[in-house]
Amino acid sequence: MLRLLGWGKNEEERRDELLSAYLDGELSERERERLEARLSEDAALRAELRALQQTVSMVHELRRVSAPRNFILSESMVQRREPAPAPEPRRAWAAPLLTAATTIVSLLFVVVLVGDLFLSRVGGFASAPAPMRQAEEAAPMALEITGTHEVEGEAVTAPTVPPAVSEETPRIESDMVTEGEAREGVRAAEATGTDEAPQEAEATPPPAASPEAPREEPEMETEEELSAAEATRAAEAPPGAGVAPPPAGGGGPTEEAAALEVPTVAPTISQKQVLTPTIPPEEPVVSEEELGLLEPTASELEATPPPARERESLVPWRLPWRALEIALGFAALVLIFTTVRAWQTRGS
Amino acid sequence: MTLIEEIDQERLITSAQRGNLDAFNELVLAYQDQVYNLAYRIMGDPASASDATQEAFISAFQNIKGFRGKYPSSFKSWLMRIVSNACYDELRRRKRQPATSIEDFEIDEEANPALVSETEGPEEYAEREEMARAIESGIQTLPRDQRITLVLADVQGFSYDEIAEATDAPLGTVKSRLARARAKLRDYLRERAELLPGQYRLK
Repeated sequence: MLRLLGWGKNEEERRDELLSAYLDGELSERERERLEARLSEDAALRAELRALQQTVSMVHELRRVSAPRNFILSESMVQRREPAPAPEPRRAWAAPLLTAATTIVSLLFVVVLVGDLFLSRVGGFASAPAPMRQAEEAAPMALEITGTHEVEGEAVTAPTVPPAVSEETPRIESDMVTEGEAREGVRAAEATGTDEAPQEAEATPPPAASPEAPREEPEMETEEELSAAEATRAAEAPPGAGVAPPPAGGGGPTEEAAALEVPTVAPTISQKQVLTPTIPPEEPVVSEEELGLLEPTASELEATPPPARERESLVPWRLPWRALEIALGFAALVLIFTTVRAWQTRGS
Repeated sequence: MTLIEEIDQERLITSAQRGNLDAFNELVLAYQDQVYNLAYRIMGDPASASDATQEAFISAFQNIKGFRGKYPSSFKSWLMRIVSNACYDELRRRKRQPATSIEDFEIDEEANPALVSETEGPEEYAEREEMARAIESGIQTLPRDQRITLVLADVQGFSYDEIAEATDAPLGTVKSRLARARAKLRDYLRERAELLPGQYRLK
């Protein structure tokens, strides 16, 4: 309405400012006279002044609110202020430091892991003799069978390559290699639907050193394979592997030594397997390399069985190595977690 | 304030400036109602007003050595400036937090029995309450600077100069902020005219 009478937005503001200052007696003499002259002519302007005046008096009439309590200060309230900002910079340097620590530990972990990879390559040659001698004693048939399996497995079941974890266990003792291959063969057969594989799975036990235990083994594996999914089998495999070696190595004194050492290695691996879900990137690298390694080893071993002494010196040495690996991996995880939290608290 | 009270306060101020907390606490007791009232009108809810009041007194004690004036009148202006600063900080802090509920704006009558006037009938009291609530919520809709300026001027009765000093703003800014705040509040009350009792309706 006022705008229709000629007050624009800016003019409205100017008008309100004049009226407001007028109410407070803050206008200059000249400004006041001019405004009063306009007020006497303009009824709308008078209405605005009245409305503004009412508003101000209503605010003024708002009751006084008393303090709900005493605000007396204590010594501690006055002093507590100074040291308050101290923790801020401490956290500020903690976060980058933690980041550095995390980086170092993670790098160490990778170095140790790569070192282990390299050693497992060497160790694969070194620790092979025991089972290989078994294989030698047992029958060339075993190698023959595994050979055929490999061909089958590669040719038919390229897509159903078993999970890395389950493949790792058989590799430590080559006794298990055949077993693992048999498993692969069973799976391959399952996938393709041929009747050959189960027969082969039954056929594998005889080649191994002792007749009783290995026979149990494949059966267990087949059951597991039938009942459980690939992933769960991968997790269940290690216990089976841990049980299997002792009976398998019942052949001679060297085999006994191998049997004693093997179970101790196996649990460590299963521990590692428990950890694997948290560090997925590293695991496939291990398995793929070892997968690649495995096949040449099996055939090469036949030709050149390294001395037993080398195996005895290498295998116990691997234990602390594995422990270091696990410890570093765990430390890296804890550090990553702590670092992320440190940065979060710093951010907030 | 009587002359004796004034002389007494000068003594207290000087003593507080030397670090005497007991002397300062006597000043706290003398000013806490005014400080709290100002904070309450700016903040709009008792909890925030209490926080701002506490912060203001702590800040006042820590900075009292910097208070160059000597007389209680200038001490009051100085104190109110600290209060409005504390409210600024508190509002800034609260901006990051969700707004307070409507219930917070209501005042507990039980706690303030003196507020009910003896000459006033229950109907008049109810009308006055309704109006007060409309104004309170209207003040809360104002932008921070305008709200503090309006409260200092129309609740606290500060002059333009005092407001300029308290809010650290030029006189012209104080003038336009106050005019805008009042105009907005007027428009706010006008929009809610039907809610207001007849005698308070803006014509």
